[in-house]
Amino acid sequence: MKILVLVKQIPDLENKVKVSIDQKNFSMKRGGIPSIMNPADKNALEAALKIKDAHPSTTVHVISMGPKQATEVLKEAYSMGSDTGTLLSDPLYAGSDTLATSLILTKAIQSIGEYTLIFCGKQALDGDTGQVGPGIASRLSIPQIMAATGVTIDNTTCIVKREFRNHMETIVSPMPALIAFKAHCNTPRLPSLRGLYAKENWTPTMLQNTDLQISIQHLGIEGSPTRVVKTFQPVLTKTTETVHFDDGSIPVNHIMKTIHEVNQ
Amino acid sequence: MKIKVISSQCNGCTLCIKKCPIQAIQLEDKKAVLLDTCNFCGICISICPQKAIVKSIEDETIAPVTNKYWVMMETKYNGEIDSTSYEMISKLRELNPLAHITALLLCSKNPSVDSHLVGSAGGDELFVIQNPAFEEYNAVLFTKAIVPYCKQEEPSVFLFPATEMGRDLAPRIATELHTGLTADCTDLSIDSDNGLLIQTRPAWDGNLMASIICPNRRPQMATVRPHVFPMSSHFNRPCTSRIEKYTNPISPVEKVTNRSIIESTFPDLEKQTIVVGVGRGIGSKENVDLVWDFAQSIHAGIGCSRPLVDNGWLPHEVQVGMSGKAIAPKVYIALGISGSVQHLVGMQSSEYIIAVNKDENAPIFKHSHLSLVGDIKKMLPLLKDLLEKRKKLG
Repeated sequence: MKILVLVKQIPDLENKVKVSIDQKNFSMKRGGIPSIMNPADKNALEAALKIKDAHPSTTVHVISMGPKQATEVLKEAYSMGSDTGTLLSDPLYAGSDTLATSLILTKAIQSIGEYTLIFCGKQALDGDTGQVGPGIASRLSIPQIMAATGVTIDNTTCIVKREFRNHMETIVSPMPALIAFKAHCNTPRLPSLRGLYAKENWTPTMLQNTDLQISIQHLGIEGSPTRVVKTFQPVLTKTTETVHFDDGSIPVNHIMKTIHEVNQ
Repeated sequence: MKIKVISSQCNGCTLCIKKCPIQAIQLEDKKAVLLDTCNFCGICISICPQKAIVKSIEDETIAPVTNKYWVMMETKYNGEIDSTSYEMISKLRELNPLAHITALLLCSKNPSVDSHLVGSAGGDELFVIQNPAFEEYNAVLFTKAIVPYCKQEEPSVFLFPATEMGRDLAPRIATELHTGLTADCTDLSIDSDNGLLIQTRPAWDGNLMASIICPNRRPQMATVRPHVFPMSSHFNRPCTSRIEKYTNPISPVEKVTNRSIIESTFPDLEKQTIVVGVGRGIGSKENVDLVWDFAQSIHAGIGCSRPLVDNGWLPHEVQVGMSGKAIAPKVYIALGISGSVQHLVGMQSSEYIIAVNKDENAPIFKHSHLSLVGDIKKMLPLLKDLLEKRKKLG
């Protein structure tokens, strides 16, 4: 059994570093910003490693697309227990929207060959679209099961628990399928000590477009139907009244009065 | 020409000439020059050590836009139609009085929707695709049914509610149609020069807004946040009904073997008149519990910003904002919430907003009607007193 886990490196948003925007094409400049593995992707990886725990013959292969520094998230995955990894990195891929990104990842998945399941996070914290997973499932003509919280394998089918549309569901699906995990659905394991040592000498397979050979008209900005035409800070000034209360004045009554008035 | 050589950066190393699979590069005056036989494979771009070979994007032409707009209706498990669909219809009508707006519904039997409702929200047509398999929503089956009609009728705009169903379905359809899709829009407008739909959404952790267009593919697709637009009921358009039977026998390969509603200890946020929202400024889990007691005592729901869910202090179901719920209560009380766009998009439609924060420059104050500047931790004991007094009074 082979599980492919798609992981994305994102800026560490807790780190309060100001993200800069490339004014030429409005894409995010990622260079120099501390980065982490997207949390929901880490939950997807943990779900894959759990299956490997139960079925030791399973191989877990992590795939990421991004600049060279995204090697770090693949190494982190390796230190947690994944077996192999691929980084898709090519300047031609920069500026790809979700349609182009799902094409590149699909071509990479096809180049890797046989697989049993594809795992990913439900959405990334930075882009927050959740569109790449379903895009890949569509291109591969396989089912997609979004918002999963856990998976077990039973012979030729997978049994997925998910929280979708305010319901808890159990789904039995043939394989292969793409399963997108909710953030917080499990507790990702810490890297093993051995893993931490081993990752130093481990590198993922690097693939670029000379390997995947996707026509450039489908890549990057040109291959992306959507265009960002403007970014702006939302400006709104709504305040009608400001009260300072740190000197001991009691705002609770003020709040209660206001609630009462508004509720009239 | 889709690839060009920046001559000033080329040092004539000839690596690209050696690697070009179809010999479409020559050296002229010690600089690489692309020949007309170039098939734009892009290999030279990847290997040039000088980064002297780049893609050049031609001036974009804009594909024709029409007034044919589609909106996907979502049937919830209880049979009701999600109100976001009506909100989108009303917004599109407001943006374009000339639009022909179709509400698309997939169902197993006779539609549970009254076309008059669609008409009063601003729609012109209720288009129903019927098949027994559509009793339950399934991304693969719905895509299979919708895509052929979409290719045939070529709507210019196709919107989906940014609910879990819409965000599951729309990317599958957009991929099949090779068109763009903007996730989770909080505003829509029409470019008066070319008629393109301008789709605005929070971007990059929600501290910026981005306006996005889809200039040369159709339909222009987007998922739209619930409750960002009001639903109108005064348009009174004559709305026709069309029912197509999807006759291909289909059934999903993945089967739901068990389904139960998620019971929550917290009240359904979307139904509350008053919501108390807590943010990172609250400081501790104990303080969150105190606020929850307070909220219950005033019959309010509790909501929170993302960091509290990340800390495990409150469940994701009560998260308000971009990756959580969008709500519009009568009163929203933001306690210790700084007001990132990520949170604001979930609550800025509230009728009256009270914000408490110790930083008087916190962005939340630009969006609140009543701004209370001070330390939330000093306010909590007062809340506690109030609670106890209320308890004594019974």
